[in-house]
Formats: sequence, structure tokens, C-alpha cells
Amino acid sequence: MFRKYYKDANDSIKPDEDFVNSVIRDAKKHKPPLRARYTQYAAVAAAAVVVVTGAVTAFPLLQKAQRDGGEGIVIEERATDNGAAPTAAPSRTAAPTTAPAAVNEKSGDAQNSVQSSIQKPERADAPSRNTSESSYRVPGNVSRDTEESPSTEPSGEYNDEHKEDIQETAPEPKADEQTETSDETTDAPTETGNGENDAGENNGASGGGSSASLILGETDEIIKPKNTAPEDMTPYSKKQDLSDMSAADTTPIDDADIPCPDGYYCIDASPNGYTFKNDDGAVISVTINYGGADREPYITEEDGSIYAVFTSFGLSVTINAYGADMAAVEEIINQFR
Amino acid sequence: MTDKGLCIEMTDEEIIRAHFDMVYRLALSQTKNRANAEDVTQEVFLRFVENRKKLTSAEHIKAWLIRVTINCSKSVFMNSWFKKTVPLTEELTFDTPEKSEVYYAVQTLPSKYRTVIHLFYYEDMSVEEISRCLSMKPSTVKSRLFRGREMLRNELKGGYDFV
Repeated sequence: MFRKYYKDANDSIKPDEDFVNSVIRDAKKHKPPLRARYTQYAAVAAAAVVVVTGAVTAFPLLQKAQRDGGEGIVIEERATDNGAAPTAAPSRTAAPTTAPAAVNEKSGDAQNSVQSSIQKPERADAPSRNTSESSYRVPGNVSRDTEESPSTEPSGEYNDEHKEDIQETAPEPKADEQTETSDETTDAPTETGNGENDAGENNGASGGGSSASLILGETDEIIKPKNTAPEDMTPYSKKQDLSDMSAADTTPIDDADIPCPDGYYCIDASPNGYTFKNDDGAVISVTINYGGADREPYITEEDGSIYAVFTSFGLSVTINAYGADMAAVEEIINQFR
Repeated sequence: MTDKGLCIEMTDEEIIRAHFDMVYRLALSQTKNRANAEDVTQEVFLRFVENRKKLTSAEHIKAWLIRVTINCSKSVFMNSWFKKTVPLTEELTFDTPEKSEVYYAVQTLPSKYRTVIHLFYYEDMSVEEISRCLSMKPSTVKSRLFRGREMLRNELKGGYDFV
């Protein structure tokens, strides 16, 4: 009896037909189990991990290969003396001794030094050479130090007294350079602040034209730093202004021709550096000095500015880029390496 | 469904329709609420479609559906939403007072006794089948059946025989 009544009671309970149809409809279009979906994504994720890992692994190798495959820096120098033999590598010391053997050693290494086919951009308005350097130049010597030997002035401080001392000890310049010397001596106080524009004006007034063409000859030469060059280069901090770098503690490289990076044009060519700019307003300042042992590029990027410093073939290069992209900076770096 | 051996060759829709009432009534017996029973039923058949390939025979399908229905019904009570709310009491209406009396007498039983009573008296499952379906010993099923009957006798005042 209980079984009969209980069965009848349950049989009288009927689910709604719409509910039955909705359950069947939902069951038909139900999604696959989560595990199956995860399996699909797992394959894609594994592929992505492989690609990312490969890229991360290969990127340093590609960078290294790109660096190794780049051309070494070559700087053309033109001697002032017509037909003069290539002069020795400049040095930060005042000693004008030449070292042709060292130059030949370095230049003979085809892997480390390659002739540069880059020409410095010629500017019609002003050569913008620092006159304070050309005034102390020893004829026949490429080295144009603006300071005395490190033994006498190791700190690299630049001041007018220091300049006078150097002028007194400097050998007698040529006749055509005496004009420059006298003009620059009178303008010396202004050069301490910003010698770039003054230098250009002075050179233009003296009728000397480009100081590079006056000082250097027509022959090309690969510059190699002297072995006796001191390595106590003043460290340049990131926040240091470039105008400070062009002062007395640097050994400018007049003929360090750097081509403009792609999309950039040269807006300033100082004795030891260049400033490039592109249409977007990005500015790249390159400062070149004679440095010590080679150092790998140390590049930092922060808030849109890029700072890079390295030493290659005896040239200490400092790059400050503002708003520029890394590719342009690397392009410049590769030109030295 | 007369021949349950053919169940394995039926489509999913046919299997769902064949077992829909069984699942729904078992869920209603467990949850005592139509809305919850509908939720449990829908969940059971969604799981069935997902695990259709694992079920090899008609008996397997029925046992699997019963097992999943009981588990899903228990999960309803474990839900935090259920713990924070009070379900509306639903009064099912029957055409005879005996049906109503028997049905609500079973509803008063604890869940573990209600389940075996429902499977034994409505689904006509044997003690062995219930034990296999619920993964418990036959002696446990027998003891629960015995205790359930005793409770029903007390509830129904001894007016029914429990054959």
C-alpha cells in the first residue's frame, strides 16, 4: 500500500514541459569542459613561451654579433702642412712625441680599425672650432691639448691662469697661426663660459676659415692614442652639461667625423663633439675625447633620455640623447666600434 | 523506456527525456523545493552531456544520474546562498489524501533515510543496486531502510504496510 501511494504521489509530480525543453536546449549547446578549453590554451601558451624564450636568448647574441660585425672607428686627419707626412696620434699630455709605430700597429689591424668613409658635415656659416685649442697647438703635431701635462695639472681645472701658462710654454706657432693666437687670447674670458660661438666668430674674422683645414693636412690618418696617454679621464656624469665637457680636461678630436644618424641632421660640430637633431626635436650630443683602455658601452635609458659612454680605440665617447630613440644612439655607437 | 539496453544507442536528447522525471523527482525529494530541484536537474544533465562518453550502459547511466543528482542536491545545501536564505515552503497538491499523507511523511525523514526509501519504493531498486549506486554497504542500506520504515510507521500511525 505504501509503495502504491508513494508511486502515485510522485507520478503526479510533473516537471514543466518548457523547463524540459530548456534543459535539453542548454545541454545541446553546452560548452566543452573546462579542462578541454585549458588544454587548447595550454598549447598556445606553450608556443608563446617558446617564442619568448627564444627571443630573450637570441637577443643578446644578436646584439653581440651586431657589435662584433660593426666597423671600427677610423678618424681622418688632415695635416696643416701641405704634403706633410701623417702625424702621430694625439695625446692628452703635452709631449709632442710621435709614435708612428704604434699607429701602424693599430692601423694594421684590419679588424680593429677600418677607414671611415664618413665626412664631417661642412657648414657654410661657421666651422665652430674651439679657438682655445687651436691656439695652443704645436705645429706638426696633431695633439691639441688645452692643458699641461697631468703631472702639473692633474685635476683638469680650466682657468685663465692655466691657459697663460700653457701659452708661455708652447712652442712658437707659425705665422698664420699667430693671428689666431692673438685673437683668441683677447677673447679668452668669454671662451671660458661658452667658447663655441666665439670660436666660430674669431675664426671667421681672422679669415682662417675652418680651423680643421688650417691645422690639418690633406692626408688621411688613423688616429691611435699614445700608449703614454693618461687614463685619468674626468668621469662624466649623466647630468653633467656638455659645455663643461668641452673645457680644459678634454682632448678634443677635431676630425672625428661622425655621420648623422638616420633621420637626424647636424646642428653643431664642436671640436670634440657633435650635436644632432631630428625633425621631432630629439637631440643627440656626442662628445669624443681621448680615453684609456677600451670599455664596453654602458647605456642607461631613463625618462626619454639616453646616456651612453664607452671607450673604443682610445676614444672615450659620451652620448647624451634627449627624446631620441635607442636605434639612433646605437647607430652612433656602432660607428665607433 | 522498455528496453534499457538500447539506452546507450539513444541520443542525448532521448536519454535526457527518458530520465528527466526520475532525476527531477529525486531532486525534489532531496531539496523539497521546485526551484532548487530544477536547478539540480539542469546541472545534472549538463554534467551528463559533458561525461556522456564515459557512460557505457543504460544501467551505468541511471546509476550515474542518481549519484550525481544526490551530490548536486547536497551541494545546494552547502551553498552559501542557501545558508543565508530561507526557502519558500511549497505545498504540493495531490488528488487523494493518502498520496499527500504518504509523500509528506517521507519528506519529514532525514535525508539519508529519505534517499533509500525513495530509491527502494519509487525506483524499485534492490538493496544491492542502491548500495552500488550510493557506494555503501548493503547492510547499511538495509539498516537505513529499516529505520526509515520505523519512522514512517510512527508518522503514518501504522496505517500502511511497507512491502
